Amino acid sequence: MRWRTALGVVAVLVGLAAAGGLVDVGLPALFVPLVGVVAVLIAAGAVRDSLSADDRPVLPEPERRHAASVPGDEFDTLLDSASLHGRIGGASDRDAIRDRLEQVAVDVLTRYDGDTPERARQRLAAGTWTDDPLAAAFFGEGVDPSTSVIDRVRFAATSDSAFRQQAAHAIAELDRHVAGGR
Amino acid sequence: MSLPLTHRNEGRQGMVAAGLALAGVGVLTGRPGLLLASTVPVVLAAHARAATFPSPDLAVERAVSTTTPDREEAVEVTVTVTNEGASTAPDLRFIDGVPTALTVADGTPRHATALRPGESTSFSYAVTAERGHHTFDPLYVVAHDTSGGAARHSEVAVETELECVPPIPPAATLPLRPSAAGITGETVTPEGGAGVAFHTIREYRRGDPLNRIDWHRAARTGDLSTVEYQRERSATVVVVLDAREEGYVASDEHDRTVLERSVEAAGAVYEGRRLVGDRVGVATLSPADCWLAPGTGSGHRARVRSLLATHEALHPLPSDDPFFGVISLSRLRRRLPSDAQVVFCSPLVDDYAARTARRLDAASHPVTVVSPDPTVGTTTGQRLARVERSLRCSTLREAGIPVVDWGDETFQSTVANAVRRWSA
Repeated sequence: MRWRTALGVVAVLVGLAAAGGLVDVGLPALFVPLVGVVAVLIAAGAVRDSLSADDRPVLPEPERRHAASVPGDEFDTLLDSASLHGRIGGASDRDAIRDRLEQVAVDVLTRYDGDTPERARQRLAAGTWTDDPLAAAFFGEGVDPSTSVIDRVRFAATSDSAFRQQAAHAIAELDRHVAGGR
Repeated sequence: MSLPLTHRNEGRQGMVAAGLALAGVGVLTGRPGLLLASTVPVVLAAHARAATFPSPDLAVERAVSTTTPDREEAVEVTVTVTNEGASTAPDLRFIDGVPTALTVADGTPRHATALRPGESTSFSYAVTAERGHHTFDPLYVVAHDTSGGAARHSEVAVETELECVPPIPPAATLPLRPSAAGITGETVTPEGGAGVAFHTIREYRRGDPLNRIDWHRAARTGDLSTVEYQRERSATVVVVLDAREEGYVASDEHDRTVLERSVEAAGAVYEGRRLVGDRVGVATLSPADCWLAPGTGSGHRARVRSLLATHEALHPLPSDDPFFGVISLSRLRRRLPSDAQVVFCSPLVDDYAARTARRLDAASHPVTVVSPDPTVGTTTGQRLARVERSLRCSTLREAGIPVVDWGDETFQSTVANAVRRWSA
């Protein structure tokens, strides 16, 4: 840093002396465009530095209040990422969600509908536990939810998926079951 | 990031770039005008480059309108900064260290000014008081030099504390569980004595209170006899608060956490049991240890009030320290008096909470769960959380553990309704 400053000062002094005719610096004609090119290159480097490096200290934000966690928000994030098209590990995430929801559904049906766990599992598989075809399709293998054309287009075009729609319906249906028995 | 630190404003890189680009193009195309124009940004950048880091000598005072505010009271905070150095501070920016659990209600805790030697400036803002003991962080100061190119970030510590201790809420008469000795709380003992329920009639002995002499019998037979009532014994109750991270959930991320409702419930249950003569203690399941042994009397009540308001384990924001469930639970069990009942205040948003209630119950400490409900049904995940919490409540009820599910009503009327349902 220091030697660069010294070099700059010497260059400027020599330049001024040469302009005043005190000294004669014999430089090749090529030197002038070379200085121009170097200047442009350093300018480009400075632009790059100012774009990339951001080492500004992090200032405190006293107005920002601590954000509390809301029960269930974690599951929403999980469902969002598991529903994305073509995500690596998406299938196993979806399986994990399906298993977790099936356990909850069995608990709800045994507790609020008086089923045995086996009977609850059968009803879930057959899709007879609810009138909502989308909710039924979430647990039932052979249950056809008859997705509308609009939904098919939406699922194909956005990150929304049939899995997510059915999971939402199944959970809403379980919530209704529980609300009835509360 | 450790303070103080110095920082150069890299925004000046753009000026360097512009200057050099103008000069370069001017040289290459042979236009002296461009070269001349380039001197302006180059000189400015050189000025910024040559800047030295200022080191202002500041004295800071912070005054608050009250150090013991009520809950939700607006507390006016006034910060006064004086330049005690010999040189002018051309550009000072302040950010006050508002305690993390408090919100700025009015004004702003930021200020920017220039100060000549000996000159002062002050700025003020208001915060809304919350339950707890709050310590202000140091004032954060960013001092720039005249060019704005060099800055020194530092902190000036000023000790300011606020303590908000809400009163113990009105009593909620939560009944206790029947125990081997009968109904506790208004607990009966096999011996006769003073009380309400009839026990036996025995021969009068000198010194028996007049109001316990059976005057009908005396009129009939001429002999004095004394009525014995079932003597009541106080129960021992420990209110346990769930202050793990899961005890700090909220219905909305900007709402107060459900711990505030747990604390309110704990206070109301304490007051209710205290009024019927029980010995009541307080404990938490939390990263920080908190235990107040069961006791009675006004001194104990004051300790409960202060503990519920300001104990570190019940800070309005969750702690970052890890929580060791097994260790905490076994420590709690060691401390619980053998005949103690437990009132467990928990939102029941995870299985650990429900498991803890069942473990304590199985360890012959009859448990009653008081559960403020933090669940809302807005999103799919929140609906699932509500279903799972309902399942936990019914599993506990099936295991014989009463659960007071506290929704939107006041806690006192929720308890009254629950008691009516249980006795129906």
